[in-house]
Amino acid sequence: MDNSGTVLMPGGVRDLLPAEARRKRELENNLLKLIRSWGYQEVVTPTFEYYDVLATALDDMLHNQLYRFIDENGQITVLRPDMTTPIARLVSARLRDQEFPLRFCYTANIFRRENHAGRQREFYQAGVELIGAAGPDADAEVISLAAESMKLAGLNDFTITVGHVDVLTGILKGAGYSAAEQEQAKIALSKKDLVTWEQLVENSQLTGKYKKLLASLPYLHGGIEILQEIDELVKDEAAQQGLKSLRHVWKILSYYGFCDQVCIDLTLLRGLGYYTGLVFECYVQEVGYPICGGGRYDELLAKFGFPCPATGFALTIDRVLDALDKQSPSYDDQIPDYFITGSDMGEVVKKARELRQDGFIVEVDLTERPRREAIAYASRKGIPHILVMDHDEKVE
Amino acid sequence: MNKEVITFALPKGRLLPLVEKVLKDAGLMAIDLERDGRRLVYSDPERGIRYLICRAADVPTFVEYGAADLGIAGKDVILEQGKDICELMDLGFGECKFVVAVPESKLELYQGGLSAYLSRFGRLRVATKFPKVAESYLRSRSLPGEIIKLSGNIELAPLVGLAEVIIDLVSTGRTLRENKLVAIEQITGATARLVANRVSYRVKHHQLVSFIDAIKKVHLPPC
Repeated sequence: MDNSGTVLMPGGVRDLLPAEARRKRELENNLLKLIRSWGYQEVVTPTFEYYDVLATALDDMLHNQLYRFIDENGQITVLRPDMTTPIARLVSARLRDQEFPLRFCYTANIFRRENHAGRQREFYQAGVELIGAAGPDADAEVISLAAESMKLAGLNDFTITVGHVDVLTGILKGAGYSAAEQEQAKIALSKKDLVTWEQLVENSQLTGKYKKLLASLPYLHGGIEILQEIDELVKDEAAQQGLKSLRHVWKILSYYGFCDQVCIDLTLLRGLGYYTGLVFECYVQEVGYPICGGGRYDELLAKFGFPCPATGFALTIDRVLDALDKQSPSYDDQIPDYFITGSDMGEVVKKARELRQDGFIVEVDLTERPRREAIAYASRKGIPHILVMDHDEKVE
Repeated sequence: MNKEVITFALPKGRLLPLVEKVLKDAGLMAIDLERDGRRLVYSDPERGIRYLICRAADVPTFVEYGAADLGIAGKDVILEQGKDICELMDLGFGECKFVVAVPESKLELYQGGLSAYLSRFGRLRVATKFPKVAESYLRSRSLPGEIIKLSGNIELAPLVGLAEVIIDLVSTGRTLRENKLVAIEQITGATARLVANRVSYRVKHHQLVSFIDAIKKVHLPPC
């Protein structure tokens, strides 16, 4: 392909123009500030790593979306397809002897080979990982922090849906499904293919009201009260434990005042085989994809030889920006506070320096155009203060 | 409960009159769609619904991106596109099926199915408009076939030696018969489905469920 002299870009990557880049930077800074105030520390990991190292821990979906390269030694390297795996690698390799729990956060660009046209292949995430805390308090902290992040980003009208992998598995086991059928059911539910789900319900060993209850599972959306309804379907120990932790999480969310925006849906699944307990996603009406998602992944670190419970979330910055853009599209370029021009360059520099130190944005005239033109330029740009520093006079 | 407007993507073409009838029976649509098909957007402010008239194959795209909350799409389109959408309900109409078809004149070569054919012949080329459906079919049967994507008139391919077999969508089977092709295997059936955007499904859940209930009341899909 001949791209010489053209300005083409591959699909799924984008430029951010000044107003967009500024909005992104401010958003990321604000998010990091919030997240740090909860005791999380930022970490940075490499953009690319060895395939062999990360691959052991990646789920199938991410595995199929890797950008791979071969380095000069013939080793396969990959661009990071998420931040959770590199952070799990980092903790397993370096921080085993630390006092737990560890709280880490990041903002990073992520690379995935998305096949759908229009999906970003390089996108930005901000997120947290809470490592070495097993209980529902940790789950609640992570959801609450995700909710605070949504609010901070200016997306006040968000919804969080919460599910629990163990509860769903317990319900499917209780329905008498074989391991293969459970898998099938989970695939149908994760794709929200309710037509297949209904067929599976038909084949279950349940009868009468239990069968009806099972069929209604994907339609059960609501507060803590819906757990009452499915209590009868949940028999095994792990699922009971899951229900207990959902109730606990709900209580803590109510202390934070988020219950109105949280909805329980036991059929929420975020991919298969990766999450081990509570999972959640955040949505806003403006964007057709989840803005934020996360959950418990107690088995991931074991894949790096360090069994350790963990939970976290990642928020997709691009989608937040899309949502904000739909709320208020006009986001202007940054306008300087001062424009300084004049023949006395020494004075110009001195004044600019003073003003910048005081926190103002100062643009210095670089052109040798006539005074009138320079001033016209600055007023066209909407710069409120124009200073002229000539040898003989100083005018504002 | 938020009473936001629901955007509903409807497929242009053969499904549209059937869809219109179901929605009217269910009391969800109080407007008439024009027959000439020029108008693309209809508003039903009383019921808080906006209808988009889309190409049938584009409905999943509108829904996936959230440009529409709900849509009606054929299962054939859904299977081929593999879009990330919720499939809420089988509407039961618009039935057609994916089949593997071969030339009548060569039928005997395929008596034992495609795997038997492949034990005697080295090459199996499959002409289709639905490469994803064809690929997942071949993969699920461990058949090493080569897929040749065409845009239409698939029936031509085996006649001129471009492919050994075709995988196509048929409703009555007339086109196959007219081109002297025989279906040797049905891959899967496909009917019209009610689909929803994943976020709308959560954020506007109660409204969507009331839609489903209204449709179910008047239109129980065949079991």
